[in-house]
Amino acid sequence: MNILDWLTKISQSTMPANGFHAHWLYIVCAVFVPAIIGALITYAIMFLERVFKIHIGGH
Amino acid sequence: MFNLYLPVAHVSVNLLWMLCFGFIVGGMAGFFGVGGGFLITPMLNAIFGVPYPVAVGSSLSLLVGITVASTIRHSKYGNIDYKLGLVMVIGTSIGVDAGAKLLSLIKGLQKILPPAGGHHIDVLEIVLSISYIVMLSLIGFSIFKESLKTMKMTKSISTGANISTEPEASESVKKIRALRIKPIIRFPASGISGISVWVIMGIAFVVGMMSGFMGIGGGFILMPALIYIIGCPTVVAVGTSLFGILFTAAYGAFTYSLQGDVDLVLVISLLISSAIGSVIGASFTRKAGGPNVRMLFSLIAFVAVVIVAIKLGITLLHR
Repeated sequence: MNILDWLTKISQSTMPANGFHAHWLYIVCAVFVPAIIGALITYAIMFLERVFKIHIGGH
Repeated sequence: MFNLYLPVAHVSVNLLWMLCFGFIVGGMAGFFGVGGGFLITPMLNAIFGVPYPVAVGSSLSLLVGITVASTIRHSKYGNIDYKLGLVMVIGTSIGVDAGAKLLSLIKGLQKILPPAGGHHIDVLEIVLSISYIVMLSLIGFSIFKESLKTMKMTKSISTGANISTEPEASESVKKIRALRIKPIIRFPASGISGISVWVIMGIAFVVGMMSGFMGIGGGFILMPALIYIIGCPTVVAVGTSLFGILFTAAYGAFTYSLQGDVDLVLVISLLISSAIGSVIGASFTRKAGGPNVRMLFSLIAFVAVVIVAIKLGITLLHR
């Protein structure tokens, strides 16, 4: 199962049609997953800058 | 091809368009220190057909990722005054709550009043939109005028002279800053030698209240307030504003997720390109320099005014 399928499953488990209640994992995903992905992407870019000795935006 | 089904919004979107959109929005957020909710929410609704509550909830969740990415980048350049940011967060949080309460109070009053002319007119929505247009136009126009003046002055002065490119405070702002109500706090990262905590909290409260009342992220008010009232250098104002928005967005994402209005598939697909965009945007803030950032910010404020005006026009036409 890829990440999109997994996210779809979590989202659908909280749908109003299924007797709505916000699943704790859904709330955690809505707040913390974007923060973690945002941080990972930033550190990945900074790592690539160091490896290739480039600097986005110049020094 | 590249179609993606959004399980909460119940619509299919083109992934490539989403990636392009995310990159632009993220770049703007990182560069200007505004969240970009003013652009993300109506665009998701108008272009991609995402229902309004899901668009709001998902954009807040997305903003958490964008602000984390650009905050880390700005932090690397020393563009964030964490101490000031945290004091501001306390004030804005109380203000947002007060603004939201005031809004629901007025909404309650509106329900009590009989509908005008036999049919219900949402006067509040119209008043809020007009206030937003007027306020943002005034902010945009003042910043445009000031940054243009600074740019002209910088060019006319012979090279080599060490002149400030930051705006000079007006007499009334100087009086506010000079208030000595204890405790007095120093903000070395912003170059502020001493200012009353109550002054900061008061400004933050007003900014938060306007955000809560008008239902906007706050970056558009917070960033100019940090520069023109508190006296932050522009690049520090951009970084600190993003740091503040991070908390507001996280709280908003939490509230909306309780109602099931966050589409995680939408958020993650937009986040990949917008986080890259925000890191690149944040990298160019210091290079562009204060007056250029402020000038471009004023132009973006005018874009926001146009978007809100169009939205208001559509609402009025559909009545």
